[in-house]
Amino acid sequence: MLRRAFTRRRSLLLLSCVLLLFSCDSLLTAAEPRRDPAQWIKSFSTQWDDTAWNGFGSGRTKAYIRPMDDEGWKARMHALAGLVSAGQKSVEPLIDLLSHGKPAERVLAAQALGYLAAEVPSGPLLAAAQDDAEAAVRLYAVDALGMQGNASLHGSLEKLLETESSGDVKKHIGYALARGEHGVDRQVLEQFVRWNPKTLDSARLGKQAPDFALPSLDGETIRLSDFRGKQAVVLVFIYGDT
Amino acid sequence: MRERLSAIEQAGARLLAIDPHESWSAKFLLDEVGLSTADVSYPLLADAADVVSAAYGIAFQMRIHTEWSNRPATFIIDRDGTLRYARRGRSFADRPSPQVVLRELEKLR
Repeated sequence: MLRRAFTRRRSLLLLSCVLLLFSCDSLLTAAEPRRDPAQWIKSFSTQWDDTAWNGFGSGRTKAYIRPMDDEGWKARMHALAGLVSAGQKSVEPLIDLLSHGKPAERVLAAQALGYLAAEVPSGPLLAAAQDDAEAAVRLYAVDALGMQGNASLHGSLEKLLETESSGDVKKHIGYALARGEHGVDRQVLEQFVRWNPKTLDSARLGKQAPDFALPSLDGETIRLSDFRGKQAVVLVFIYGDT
Repeated sequence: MRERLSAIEQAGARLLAIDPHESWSAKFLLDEVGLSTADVSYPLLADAADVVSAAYGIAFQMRIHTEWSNRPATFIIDRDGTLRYARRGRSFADRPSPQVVLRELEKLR
């Protein structure tokens, strides 16, 4: 009888320990849930539709925009945050994806590898910047090379300028050369690690506008909450060359 | 932008611009047209990880200049921090006019 009571108490103790561990884990994980890089790649691949774009403009400013109700962009954000915050673990699968993936996957790989900069060998990025058939892959690969802040790559980047056909990619080679030895800022990486997926698409009329802290051109950090109680704010989102 | 800026300042509000890139491209483009960062008279914020663009529901929704960039959008937040106006564009030129922004700011008074 005594032995049975002891065993029951131990099982209860074990059970409550397990439950405590589970609840602790969910409290701590405000960031993107930890998944295998391969799972992030798969989830992106199944949800990102490269065909759902509406074209507008013409000639030099031909552009494409998602239908208003499209949700594919969210998969991109989740995948990027998940892959980048997994750090070193993501590098090999992404390098593999960069050469063997479908076009949309190669673009994602190049984009993610840029943020992982310091952990990434330049060779595969240079190869993609030179040889990939998709201009978007070459563009993000060039960005990634710039984000490494490695001056010894400049010769190779300058050579790319001579052979690159896309004006957009050439522009990005210019950015990569101009930034010199300034690799991607740690702060940017931290934003991915600390990102709370619940904030995705969370802005709602009549509710508190999502707060943020971002660097201005002169390096000063500006927060939306800096203006609370003082001034109304007009927030204009631009796409890069307005 | 300049028209918008004076309308906004007249109404006692603040203009913030958010760019889904590190500041290198903005600096490069300014340099290209012979301007410096001092010529930009409103805060131009670098949302390099797209976390703010994602929060406001516009990240990666426009494919322009070969890259996946923000859908152009304008939001107005009142002094209490409440979101009072939101306009997400259907094309790169689809933005509220300075007159519309001024009208919306007047509504907040």
